[in-house]
Amino acid sequence: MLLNPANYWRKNKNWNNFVGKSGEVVFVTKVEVTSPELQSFLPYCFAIVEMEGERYEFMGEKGVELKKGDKVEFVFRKVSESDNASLINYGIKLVLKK
Amino acid sequence: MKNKNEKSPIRIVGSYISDHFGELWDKSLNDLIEEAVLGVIKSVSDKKNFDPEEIEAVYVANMASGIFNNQLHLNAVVSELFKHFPPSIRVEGACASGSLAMIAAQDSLNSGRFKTVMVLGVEKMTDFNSNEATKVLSAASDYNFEYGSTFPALYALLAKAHMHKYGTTREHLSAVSVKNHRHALTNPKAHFKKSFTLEQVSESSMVADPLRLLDCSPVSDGASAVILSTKNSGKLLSNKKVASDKISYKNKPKIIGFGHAQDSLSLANRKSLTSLNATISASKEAYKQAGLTPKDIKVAEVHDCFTIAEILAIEDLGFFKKGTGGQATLDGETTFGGKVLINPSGGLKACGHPVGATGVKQVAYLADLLENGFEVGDGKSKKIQNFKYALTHNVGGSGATVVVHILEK
Repeated sequence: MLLNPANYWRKNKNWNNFVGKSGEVVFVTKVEVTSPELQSFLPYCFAIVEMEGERYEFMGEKGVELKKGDKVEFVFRKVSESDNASLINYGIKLVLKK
Repeated sequence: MKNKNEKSPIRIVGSYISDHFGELWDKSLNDLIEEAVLGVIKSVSDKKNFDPEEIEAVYVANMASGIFNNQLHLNAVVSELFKHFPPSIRVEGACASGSLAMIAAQDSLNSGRFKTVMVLGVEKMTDFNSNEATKVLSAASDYNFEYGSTFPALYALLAKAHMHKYGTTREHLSAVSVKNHRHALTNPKAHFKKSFTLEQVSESSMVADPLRLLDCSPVSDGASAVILSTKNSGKLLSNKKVASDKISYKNKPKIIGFGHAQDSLSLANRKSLTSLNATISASKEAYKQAGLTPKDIKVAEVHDCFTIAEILAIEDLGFFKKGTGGQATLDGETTFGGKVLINPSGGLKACGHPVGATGVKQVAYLADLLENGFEVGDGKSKKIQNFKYALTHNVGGSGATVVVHILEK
């Protein structure tokens, strides 16, 4: 599906609030079934994360196993598959903090 | 003497649920709608004698016919089935669309604008495969804030929180599925008529841990409809040719309370992950209007889109102390002979979950149960179990919208 550039920008204009920062996993699940454009990332974790007293929800990077209490970092990654004519859809994902 | 300003109660004078819910390849969206309209009219009258002009308006519940069926003028699709083209409004609120349409219809009756209306819920989902349907249904979450989530994933997070705080177990979740599949065996309308063991549920394929395939309600096709009326005396219909005592108003169940509450769309913004606060608020209002407490309710259809959702519901509705819903289910307290009968239809889990139809189906099913009772036992021990009150609980998304209705025989 062709991604509309304006919608893409609107959706992701708050990236700078997260990239490079870290948080803690509050609860996490490992997703094994998902929508078609996310299939190539399976299995992936989806977590509620706490950062600076606020809670957020993010996908984990493909293959990253997260558990409650893990310290995580917010990173900039491709977040869905798109066809050759579309914008590449980037966004925030979680990785374990080194 | 009746106070002039006293409102007439809203009675559920007719009800219909699709021949059965399921993967109905031979039926289109329009077929499902037409079947429900004719079915509910037939439930109150001999079709030949009934004048459908008595339906003054139609409230249509649906979540996603625009995506599933490329149909975004559903109110007109329903209205044109009547010769008199009654005013028709579509209501959308994810999985709670049906109960929200009920509320819209109730408001029109309570205001005095109409005396008799139809509420119809419908969803034709199975032309999409399960992955595509997962994407469509995820539109009921917060797209920006919960990107990458699926509905099983959101309820999995709620399950994790409940397990962490209260020690709810895999076996507790499985007990909900086993019980609802068993209940569905006696429901001819059910999507699934197959029983499962605790082990089969616990070993079914993983969807989003800890939720497995048999923890999840299915993607179903189906429709349901009710006719609501504030007419309170005489025969059910003004058509003189219909004169059966069976359809007089006094035998029809009435709505004695309802509540509607909202919460944040995203889980991260919730005050609690171990309760749906909207369920607590909506039920509090419904109990207050009805003048009842949870102890008065002996049968309920609750929103078990996932097994954990039923455990949350039976606790948040006040039937069981917080944290004990799973064990109560495993102990048989939510089936026949238990403290409160939960989801005798099989619930969303086994009766099926055609999203827009579900909230209306809950009301239709329980109205019929209040009117006719429930046949229990077999052979010589067969008897009719009757109920005085019944409760419905319909949830939109992961708990952002909740509607509770209480019905009285």
